[in-house]
Amino acid sequence: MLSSRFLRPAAARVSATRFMSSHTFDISGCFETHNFETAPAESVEATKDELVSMFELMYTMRRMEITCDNEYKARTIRGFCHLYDGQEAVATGIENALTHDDSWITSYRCHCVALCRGGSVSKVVGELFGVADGYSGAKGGSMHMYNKEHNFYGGAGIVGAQVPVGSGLAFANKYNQKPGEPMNVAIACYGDGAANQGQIWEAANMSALWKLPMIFCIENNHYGMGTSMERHSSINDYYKMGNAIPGLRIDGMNVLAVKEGMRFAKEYCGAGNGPMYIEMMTYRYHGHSMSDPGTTYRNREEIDFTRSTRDPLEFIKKCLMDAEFMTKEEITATEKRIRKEVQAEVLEAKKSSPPGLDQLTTDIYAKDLTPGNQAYPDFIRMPDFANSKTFNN
Amino acid sequence: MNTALRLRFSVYAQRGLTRDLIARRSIHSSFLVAKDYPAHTLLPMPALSPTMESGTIAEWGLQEGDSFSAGSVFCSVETDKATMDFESQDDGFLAKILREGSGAVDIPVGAPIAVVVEEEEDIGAFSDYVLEAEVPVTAAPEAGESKAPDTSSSTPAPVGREVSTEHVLLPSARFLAESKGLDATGLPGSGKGGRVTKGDVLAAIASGTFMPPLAKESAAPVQAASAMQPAAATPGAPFTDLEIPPVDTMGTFEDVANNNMRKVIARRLTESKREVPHFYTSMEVELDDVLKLRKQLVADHDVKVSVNDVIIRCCSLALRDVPEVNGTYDPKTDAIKLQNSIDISIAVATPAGLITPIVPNTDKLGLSEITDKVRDLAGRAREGKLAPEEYQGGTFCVSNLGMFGIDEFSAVINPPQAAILAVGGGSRRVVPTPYIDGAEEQAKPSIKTIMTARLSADRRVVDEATASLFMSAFKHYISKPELLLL
Repeated sequence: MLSSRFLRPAAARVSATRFMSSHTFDISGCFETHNFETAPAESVEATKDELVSMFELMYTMRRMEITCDNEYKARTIRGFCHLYDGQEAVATGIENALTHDDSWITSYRCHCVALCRGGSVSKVVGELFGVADGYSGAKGGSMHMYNKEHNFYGGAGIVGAQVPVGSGLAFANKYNQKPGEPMNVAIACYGDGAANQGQIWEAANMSALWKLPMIFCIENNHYGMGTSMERHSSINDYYKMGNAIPGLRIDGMNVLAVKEGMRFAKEYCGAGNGPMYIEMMTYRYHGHSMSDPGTTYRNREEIDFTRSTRDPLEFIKKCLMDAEFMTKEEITATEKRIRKEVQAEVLEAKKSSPPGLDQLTTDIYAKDLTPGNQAYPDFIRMPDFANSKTFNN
Repeated sequence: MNTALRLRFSVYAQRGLTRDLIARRSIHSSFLVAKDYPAHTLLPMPALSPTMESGTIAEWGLQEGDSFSAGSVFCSVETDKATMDFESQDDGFLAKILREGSGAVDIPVGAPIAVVVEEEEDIGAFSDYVLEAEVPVTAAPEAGESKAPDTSSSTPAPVGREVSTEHVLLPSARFLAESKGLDATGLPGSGKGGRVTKGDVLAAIASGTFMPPLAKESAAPVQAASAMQPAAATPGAPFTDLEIPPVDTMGTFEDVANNNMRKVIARRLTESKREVPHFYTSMEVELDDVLKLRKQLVADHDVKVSVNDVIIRCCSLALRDVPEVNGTYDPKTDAIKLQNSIDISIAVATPAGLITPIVPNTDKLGLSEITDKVRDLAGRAREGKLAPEEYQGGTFCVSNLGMFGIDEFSAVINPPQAAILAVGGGSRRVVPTPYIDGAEEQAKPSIKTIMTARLSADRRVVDEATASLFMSAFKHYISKPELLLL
């Protein structure tokens, strides 16, 4: 199963690499800082295992999104479908830099993030098909994948709404900080189109005042739905949007730069220095969603140019070959294998059945409404008023 | 849908498969490996919009044997909404195109349109590839030759029959029996002279009386005279279409497929002509003052204004004066809705068809503004670059065929508008001057440029008197262009 590979936090992986070969990659020029005295490193060392696992994760993401496209066009998936291909390096880099104790909340473009956090291709695609084994039990769909065990707080349909929630998660992490240890961070990913939402400014203000370990991560794919960033935002340096809050701009197509930048951010925020703005310069090949062909507001030449010069998969393949970790034939063989695995998982998802009618009434109320046994504190008014503590008091 | 497709779906219908299941059969996955062919994928017609049911392949962007990568365009697909490109997400090679040209019209979503392979060397294996279900159903009916069942039938004729076996079946009984593929000539008939009626055949079927299957005649070539027969079908198969004999046409013809725009125009204007009671009022107007004004504007002020723009302005002012013509009839409520704004559509002939872009709030625009707007809209209409709100709507329409040399014509109203003004070209004519009683010398007849304007109006909204008022207002403005200042 593809999912087990990604459960091991990055830290454990690094310590086992003492005997593996590693290679230093130059990532200068991938960062721009704002209000920082320090900066992320200019070169990063990566082992073969790390690079191979990143490559496999990114290729799996790519194949999964392509499969979603094909299935949507064959009408087996309906409704909303926002695809992430082209932006795989962002999710992979963040996943490799943070641990599963760090909270992650993102926008509706969440298939690949769900894959990283406790998901598998069959669960994610199954959710889109609407089968009981889907990621959210077929109750969420494309935009509402959620996994509390792995600290993945979804998939959110409302533009920008995930950011104040992310600040709340950062507050919870600070509240639950174990003394003497750095705080777990919270990261909220949103797009350049969402960056001007008023609620984000408010969340940023409170995060700065309370010095929350919050990372505001803008995935800048240059288009807010169909409007280019020059036309939808008067400020195009999104990493400077925090004003006094320090910011970092990272080349989002370079997975090693993303990982190093996120490591730097986690260190900064986890130490209690307050929030941070991160802008990932990335690109999406598909349109905004499957209803959008993606070519009415941008040239095909631009998309082809990005595919040929800045593709994140091509970059990591080049890294693997330059470091002589894998040969071209091995890479092609890996790609073939992953294709087959993804196909097999999709077929498995297709064979599953939708949830039964008994699932209709679950996941609505808290499981146990007995006063005192409730999952919620006593002062919360329960949906069934008669069982609320205040009434019984 | 072409015949092959209809047969294919009838085959599927017999197997009880729904459309959804057809799509779910993973036509695009490489697990459907047909025997003898290397691993390949059948590319299905994609659903490029949520409401798309079928699409027409306008043009293939690749040829057989070409390689493609993520982002390259397979073909452009014309749907009910727009023409969109079908992009590939993957790399591969196009081995065989299954639908092109005339076979690429109205392909339902999910039907295979091409074969793609991953390895270049596999391309050659598909040169003769034919999609399995497209092989015509072999139970194709043979053309029956004669009306009567063959006389060598072994069933003896019942007693009491006064007619020969040839004529014993009444037409409705024969039809019914042949559609079931049965020979009903052996039945005892309750009709006149022992003829077998339809009731007899129905009763026999209900009671299970044995009727031998209809013998197929040897397939002699169908002659035009006897060919209008229900064809003999295999027993149990559903009734098949009439065999149309090959007709010797004089000369050749060419089928011109209508593009979407023309189809929509055809449908809407047929509906208009059928539903809307048209009536026509013509008026001849003198154009001399308008032409003089035009010359003056060009000479003194270097402003180019065409006669059509003046006509549009005159129409807008006339609509202001006679607002009853600027309305719509709502058949659901049987009410006339008078529109608040005056938006005049102009008929523009484009290579793709006739389109009517709208000049919004025409009465509030000056003459040069109308000129600019019309020029912009007409130019963009010819290039096909109009936004939908620029050609959908409008309260009145003006159609001018003067530049094509037409003197006068009647136009079809564009629903839901209430009227359309059809304007011909100006022709120079001799016009008699009024006779003045008692004058020494009668004034000589003058030569004037006369143009005919005909208003087609919807009789439910506009009556003849109102139409006449409108036309006289129009004539009033166009004969005296100084009134356009008001």
